[in-house]
Amino acid sequence: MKQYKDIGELFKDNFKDYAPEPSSHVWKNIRKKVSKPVFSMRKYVFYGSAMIGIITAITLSVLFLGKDNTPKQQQVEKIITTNNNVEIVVDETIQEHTKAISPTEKVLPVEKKVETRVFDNKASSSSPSAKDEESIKPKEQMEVKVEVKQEPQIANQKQAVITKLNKTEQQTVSQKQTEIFVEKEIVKPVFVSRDTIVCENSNISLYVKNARNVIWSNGQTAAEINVDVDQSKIFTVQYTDGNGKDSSAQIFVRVVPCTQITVPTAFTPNNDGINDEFKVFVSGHMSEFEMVIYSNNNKQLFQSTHVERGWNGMFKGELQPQGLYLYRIRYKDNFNQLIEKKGEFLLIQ
Amino acid sequence: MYASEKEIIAGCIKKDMNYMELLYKQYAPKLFNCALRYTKKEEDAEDVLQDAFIQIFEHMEQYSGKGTFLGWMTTIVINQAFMLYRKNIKQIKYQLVDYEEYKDSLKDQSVVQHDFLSHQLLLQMIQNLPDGYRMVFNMHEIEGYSYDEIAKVLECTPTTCRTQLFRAKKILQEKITKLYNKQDKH
Repeated sequence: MKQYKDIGELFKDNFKDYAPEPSSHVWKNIRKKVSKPVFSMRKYVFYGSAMIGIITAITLSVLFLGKDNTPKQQQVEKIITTNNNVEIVVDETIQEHTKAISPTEKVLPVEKKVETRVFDNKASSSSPSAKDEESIKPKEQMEVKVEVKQEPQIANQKQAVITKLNKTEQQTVSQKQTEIFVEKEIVKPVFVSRDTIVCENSNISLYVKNARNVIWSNGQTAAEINVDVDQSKIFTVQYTDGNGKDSSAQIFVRVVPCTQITVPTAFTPNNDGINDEFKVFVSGHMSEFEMVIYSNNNKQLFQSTHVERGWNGMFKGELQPQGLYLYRIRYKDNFNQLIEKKGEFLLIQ
Repeated sequence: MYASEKEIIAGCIKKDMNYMELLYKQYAPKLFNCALRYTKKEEDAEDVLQDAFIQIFEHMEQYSGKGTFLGWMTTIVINQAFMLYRKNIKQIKYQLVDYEEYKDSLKDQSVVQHDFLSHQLLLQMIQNLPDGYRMVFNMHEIEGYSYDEIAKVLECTPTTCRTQLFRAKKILQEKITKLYNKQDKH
């Protein structure tokens, strides 16, 4: 029985040590939302650089419009290098962005090419100002091509773009137009789970993002796998990245012993040598242990600060009657976190 | 893996997912206790907790080191709970009640807890309080805010807060007394 001055005090006291575990989907949602901005920001960065590329291209095309020349047709991979062609290649290291934004994941080296190519076939026919150029465009069949790609299936797309370029190039040559190509290729970097430390017998999920042909060392082929780990292990994963390169990564999962306690639900203090004491069973490291036992009407009967010392059912020299008793256990686990457990158990005579 | 509070905070500022998870695992239960008390049902509490943690991770660098870290996070949870509360009740009609009316009935506020009351039961009592009462009761009695502070948050006068608090306490007291009476009869 406990007397409180005020109802508020009763609630405050009862909720002081209350720490219920929220359901697991809460953390999953948080994780999802917290890592989300990373990708959207990257997009902005990419679109930003694409815009810069386009602007530079237009400016340069205007600048070089006055010049007259005849382009030679070439194989597309190294697009056109004629006498008066202008070729701008902007190389950016994607890692700089991704490292700043998402330090949580391993970023594997990725190439990113932003290439702006401007070439000018026959400018004499077109007028010198950009405005006019636009207005004449439909008649003269001018083309402004902007390719922004962000899909992982770069290999196929690249091919597609190349053929496209080839076609347009041929047209360009035959029709003697002015063309601007702004090509941008962005390959998503591959993200792999970090090395982690887990408790024994836990289930963790490992993943590889933005990769194809994934094969894990345990034979699984999904991008995200769930594995049970009972001992420290290195997981190897083989995959094909956005550039079509085969690559592999290792994830080290270290298993550490974690504190686990088991509280019995009943005991029989009859001196038969079996289950005569009420005590908890502990695995793993534990400190600052304390166990208090209360009777049904909240009277403290027993206190122990040692895990091995249990209650034998006696209070002031008398064996307590059969029935339900309450326990409160406090300890610090191997993360040095204070844990409290409350519950009830049976004394059976 | 053991990490001190400082290490965890530094890791979270760097947006290291491992530290974020560590922070969540260490503090989520305590903050969930708070979220549960400020909301009507568990799903709401989970929403509040989720939004609060997103806020915590986003604004981690704003924690100045003044007061406890848990206290700082609790404030964020309460703020989130208040946002939900405001969303639910667009217009709060405070009935101005004379404080004098309650003065007499509250002379004896003492309460006896006969036996082990489960958190579930106590939580249910708090969750069933009218929204405004619940906010005031939690803030004043459990988190220990002053009437002026509560009035600022809830946008009402300190007198209204006090009236609401007394009503909340009266309801809770009646519920607990009823509970024991019922038990005595059996």
